[in-house]
Amino acid sequence: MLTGLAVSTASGRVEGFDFRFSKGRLAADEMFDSATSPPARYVVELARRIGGASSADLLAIANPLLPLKAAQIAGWLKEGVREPMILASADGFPLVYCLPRALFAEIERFLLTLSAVDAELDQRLLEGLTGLSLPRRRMQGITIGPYPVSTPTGWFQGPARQGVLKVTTANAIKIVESRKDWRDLPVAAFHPYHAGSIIFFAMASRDVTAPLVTRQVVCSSYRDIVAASGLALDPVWLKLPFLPRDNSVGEPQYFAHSLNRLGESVLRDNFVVFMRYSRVSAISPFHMIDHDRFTLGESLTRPDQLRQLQPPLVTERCALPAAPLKVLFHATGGTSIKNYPLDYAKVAVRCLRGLGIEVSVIGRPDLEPFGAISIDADETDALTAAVRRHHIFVGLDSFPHHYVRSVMGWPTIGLFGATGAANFGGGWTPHYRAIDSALACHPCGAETGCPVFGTAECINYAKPEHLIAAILSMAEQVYGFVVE
Amino acid sequence: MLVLAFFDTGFIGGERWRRLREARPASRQHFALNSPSTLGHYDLAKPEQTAPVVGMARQAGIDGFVIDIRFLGGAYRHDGALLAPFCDPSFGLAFRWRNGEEPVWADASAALEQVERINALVAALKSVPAVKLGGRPVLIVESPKHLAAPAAVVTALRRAAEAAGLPGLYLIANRAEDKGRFLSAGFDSLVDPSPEDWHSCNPSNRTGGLDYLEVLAGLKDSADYLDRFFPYLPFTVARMLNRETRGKVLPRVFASFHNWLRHPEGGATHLINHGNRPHDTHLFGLFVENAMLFAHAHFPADERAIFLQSWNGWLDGSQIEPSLLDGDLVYNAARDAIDRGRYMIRTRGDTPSDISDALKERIALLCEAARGTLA
Repeated sequence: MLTGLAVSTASGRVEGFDFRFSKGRLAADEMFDSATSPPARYVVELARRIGGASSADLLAIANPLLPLKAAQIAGWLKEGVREPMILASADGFPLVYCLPRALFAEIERFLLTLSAVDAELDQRLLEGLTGLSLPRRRMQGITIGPYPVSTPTGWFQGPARQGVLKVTTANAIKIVESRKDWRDLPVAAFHPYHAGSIIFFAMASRDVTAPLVTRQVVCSSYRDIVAASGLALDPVWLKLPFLPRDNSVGEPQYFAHSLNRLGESVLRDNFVVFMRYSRVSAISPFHMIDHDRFTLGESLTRPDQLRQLQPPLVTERCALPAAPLKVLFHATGGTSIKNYPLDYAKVAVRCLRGLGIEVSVIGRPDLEPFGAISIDADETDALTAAVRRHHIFVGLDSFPHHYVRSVMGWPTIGLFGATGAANFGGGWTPHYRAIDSALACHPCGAETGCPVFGTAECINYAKPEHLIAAILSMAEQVYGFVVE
Repeated sequence: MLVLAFFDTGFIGGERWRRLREARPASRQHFALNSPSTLGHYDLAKPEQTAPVVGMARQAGIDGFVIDIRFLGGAYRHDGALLAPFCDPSFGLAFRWRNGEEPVWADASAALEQVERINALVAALKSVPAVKLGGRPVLIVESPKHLAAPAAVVTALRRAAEAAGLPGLYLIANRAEDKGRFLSAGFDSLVDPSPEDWHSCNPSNRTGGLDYLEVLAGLKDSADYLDRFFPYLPFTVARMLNRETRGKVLPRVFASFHNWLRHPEGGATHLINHGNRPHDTHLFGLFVENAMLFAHAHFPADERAIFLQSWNGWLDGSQIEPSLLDGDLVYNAARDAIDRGRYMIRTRGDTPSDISDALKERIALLCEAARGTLA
């Protein structure tokens, strides 16, 4: 599904390379699957992988959006390809990019602005980037037609999202054609929201050896999170509220508003690349921090390179005496399906109290009658301070959990219901574990109610017994706490 | 974590394939049976045709096949010898003992004959490259309820295994729930029964007298009255729901199931997906990977396994082998799900730490008390 050819123009020798999106093995014929990578990031990666495995002088990289095999494109190019060009469908969809191997490496980071959906735009961009004259050959027998909203290979690149890709390419063309110093300009990732995603991106930015991207467009309302998370990219502040979570505004629409808001100077001085979700995250088993590391330029060709399988970047623990054990609980995800079920929370709090464990809950006075103390932690500083007063943090798939786990490195238990524990939790260490009930519907991604049983709450959340066992197990491992 | 697939060794000669080719659904509600593509109509007696079968299973991440052992013609027989040349320490065989076909096991007074048969059974398991759980070859007892004296049979099996020089036997009862009968009798664990033997949720066709009359009047398809149709998603989710409370039960997973061929007079079990499809590869994948994660979280390190039904159950539509109608879709879904499951398990470490059983019990009691006060 990810494919290309290495062509030795002198001898006419052609080698084919086929890869598939990895489901965890990261075998030699697999490629890391990152939801935040635009199609162009895979063009770059294919060129790296194929270029690294061959001494050929020309690479023909197939469009990652299309389910192609090397034999297929070799058939299309059977008359031989001896010079750079773009092969396009009859309706102008790019099929194959043929460029000198050395050039792929030389202009790597700017290739992130390829649209992968419009051959004419990509031709013009590549001509600007390479200084070459690139013929665009049309395959009259192939018409791609309207690209579907989602594909079996995990892309979701419907017409509106294609518009986003075209705009980024058009902006890049404008820069390259109007500025002689374009090679000195930065690539800025458009990844402005939401709070949890900002955390993942920031942690990824601290964990990339040779980033293709050096700036990040990010909502200015997240200044405190950006500051606290140690973002290694230079922030470009976007003065817009973050994307509403109720789907009242689409991402492409938001992107268009953002460009207006960012203004001409930002667009003139930055190659802006859309690096929000382009692929379905749940089909990849990898953690989002690794998704973002790949997006930012890390190749991730072996499991031992994954952060998820390595010790975390930050590890801390509470300085208070182990007893009495204090647990901070964030049980509110915003909607019923995302909340830890109310009855589970009541039972968990009461049981923990019965074991002599102190329980604080964030913003849940309704759990006070069961023995918890409700506290406020609306701001990052307040959350940080509250966490430091507790031994263990228990959170849902939301910002506090990701912040406490990844940025603070605090002992954390992640509760997962409708969302993917693999992508947003994953990676057990003595300081972290993600728990759920392993129901066969998980993850469903539901936002309003259970699609299987029609209930408002998600029954995949771990039962109180399971949660309390996890808390006590972690308390013993990290603090040596043993319940009396 | 072992992924073991049930494997029908009946594909010797052409008879089984002929039966598959000639099978015709009697109702529009019955999914047509599928036919093999990549591996063709193989004959397991021909090594050159068996080798690719095992090769593809290994590529999918399957660690071994579960094959049937039966009492036929006065002896226990299985076809392990046909597969043995393709096994090694990373791929082996487990057995499903079809004890329900032998009346002797239901007869409490036939103890002597039972001991003889047990010795013959264990002898037949020897010299086969076995996949192991708990360090022992695996034997699934297909009909544990058919055993008049399960504890005595288990004890005799273990003795016979020891006498035969085996490192013991890992005995699994084919039951969804223990209810104090099998684990206490000495079985090592249970395994979820097949879809036909355990209807884990309500059928979508609940029939009554009116349906019966409508069938008689020719107004309704008789399959709608006689067969049971289950939505795949609730059927599989129900198997995972509260499963830790059912005892030590290893998960059985399946992509599809419709056994109308075995029930020509009605009574078949059908699993149906949205859009009236026999399978949904996405949901199947979730079933597999969550079952693997469950087994990882709840069982001792050397006893973690899931059972895939099936590699080549063409006659009940449960096969994951590449097929004419589905190509590689189901096979790839199985391979991808096993990959995902293994990766996720790797991120969780080999042995998730846990608390003592006594503390677990205390927590359970406290939670139960808390629920009581809420009620």
